[in-house]
Amino acid sequence: MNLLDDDFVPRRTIFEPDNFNGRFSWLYDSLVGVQADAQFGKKISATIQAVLQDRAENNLDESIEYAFLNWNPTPHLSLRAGRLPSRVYLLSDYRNVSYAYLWERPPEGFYVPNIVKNYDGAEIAFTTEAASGILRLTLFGDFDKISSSIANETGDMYFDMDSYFGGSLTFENNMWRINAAYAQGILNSSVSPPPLFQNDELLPDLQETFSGLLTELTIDDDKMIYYTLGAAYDRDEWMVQGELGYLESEWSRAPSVRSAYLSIGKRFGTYTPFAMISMIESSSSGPLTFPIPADASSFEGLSTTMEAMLYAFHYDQKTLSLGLRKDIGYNLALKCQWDHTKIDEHGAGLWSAEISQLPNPKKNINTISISINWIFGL
Amino acid sequence: MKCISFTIFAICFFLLFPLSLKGVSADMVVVVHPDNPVKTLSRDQVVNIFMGRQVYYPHGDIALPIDHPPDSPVRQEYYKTLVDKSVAQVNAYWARLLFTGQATPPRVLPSTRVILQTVSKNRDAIAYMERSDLNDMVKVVFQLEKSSL
Repeated sequence: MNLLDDDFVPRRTIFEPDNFNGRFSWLYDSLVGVQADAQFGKKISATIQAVLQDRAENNLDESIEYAFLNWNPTPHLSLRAGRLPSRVYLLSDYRNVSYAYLWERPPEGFYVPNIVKNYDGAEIAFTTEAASGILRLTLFGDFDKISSSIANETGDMYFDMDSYFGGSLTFENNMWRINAAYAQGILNSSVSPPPLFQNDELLPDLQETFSGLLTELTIDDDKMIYYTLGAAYDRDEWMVQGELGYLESEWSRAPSVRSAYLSIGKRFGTYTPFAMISMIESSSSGPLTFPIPADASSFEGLSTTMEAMLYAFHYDQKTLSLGLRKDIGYNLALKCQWDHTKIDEHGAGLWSAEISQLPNPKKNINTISISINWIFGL
Repeated sequence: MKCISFTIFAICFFLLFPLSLKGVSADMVVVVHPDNPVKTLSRDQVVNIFMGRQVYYPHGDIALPIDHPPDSPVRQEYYKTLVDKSVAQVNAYWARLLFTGQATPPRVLPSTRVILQTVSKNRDAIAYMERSDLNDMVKVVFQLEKSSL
């Protein structure tokens, strides 16, 4: 359950719809997941996982998170092929498994802009024992385009990412989990304009302005590169975790995105209070490269809509989160969390709002979340 | 004379009873089938097997770890001593591994008797139990030591 003190509504990922009813939602953090595993002999296994949650498109393809075959020809080598989880971030492959982490959800300022949650492809992993733990090198690549769409007040956007590949180096022992990763892909997008622009009465110079805007917003074979570094420490009563992320793109409207978070929790028996700070900042989108004609004023909301479209993927916010996890038994956890988010001017790219409120002035938003996390089968 | 006697007594006392009173008792053992090629495992290897980071024995055969039920005092003591985590913490850890397809958690069997029978019939199985429950159907490959004051 989530409660806001503002009309701006958060998104769990940039592809999810606004699932708030006013300032309240039962759907935002809610999901049900099931997984089936099968073993074929000693070296081959298969896994399929489906997650039901409120999405822009709810069909079987969208609901299948993972479906892959795994082959271990030797104890230190594994190959997987099928629909695989992204391995770029510490929580990339288990962000839906809330029971496995401390907070209500992965830090939004870090994980929401990640457009690759899974891909259809293959990976190869090499492991070796090191420093009382395991060192794993994973290389991965896709077979098929990764496609998604976003339904926005500022117009629907369709994304295709192709040639997605990368690698990660992970070390894990009883206290530490450290991950460094690199991934890149070629991104294309197209924009379906909001109804305001689908107006045959628009004058020719406005049509030309609008065409210029679409060109600004279109991503055409632009390379996106992800760099991440993360570490998690879990020993005795302390749990500390943090990550740094840098996204570099050839898209002129968002050449780079920097993000980071740090979380600290301390166990007191079955209670674990925690605090977390997270931030995300895009490089400046810059002003429009062409002036909006004076005639635009004759169409109410036109220039506002154009400006909102330009800043739809501009992020500039910092969040302080305080919360508590209570473990009950061996497979149930209760959580509550307060998030205080400071959004800078034009920096509300992670939020959904009425177009009249975009682009946004500086603002602060408070969110209260309460949840029950339950796993079965362990 | 009394002073010298007292001094000798004090020296003997502290030699026999060190200040830290740190005794070690090997209460739990990790066992495998007698025909399993493994002779001994290091603590790191036992941790990696039971925490899913390593799914094979050093000689290359698959390892099949076995757990006691979640509410078993033996299981609670085992993981507290092995990795200093409660059963709930271990389950949170396994939730990550299981639901990312990296590994499956140990198979849970209802009692030490059933565990002994299973290990004695399965060359790949590995389990833990209290030393007092040992019999000649299984082979010890690691002793879990805990310190007590």
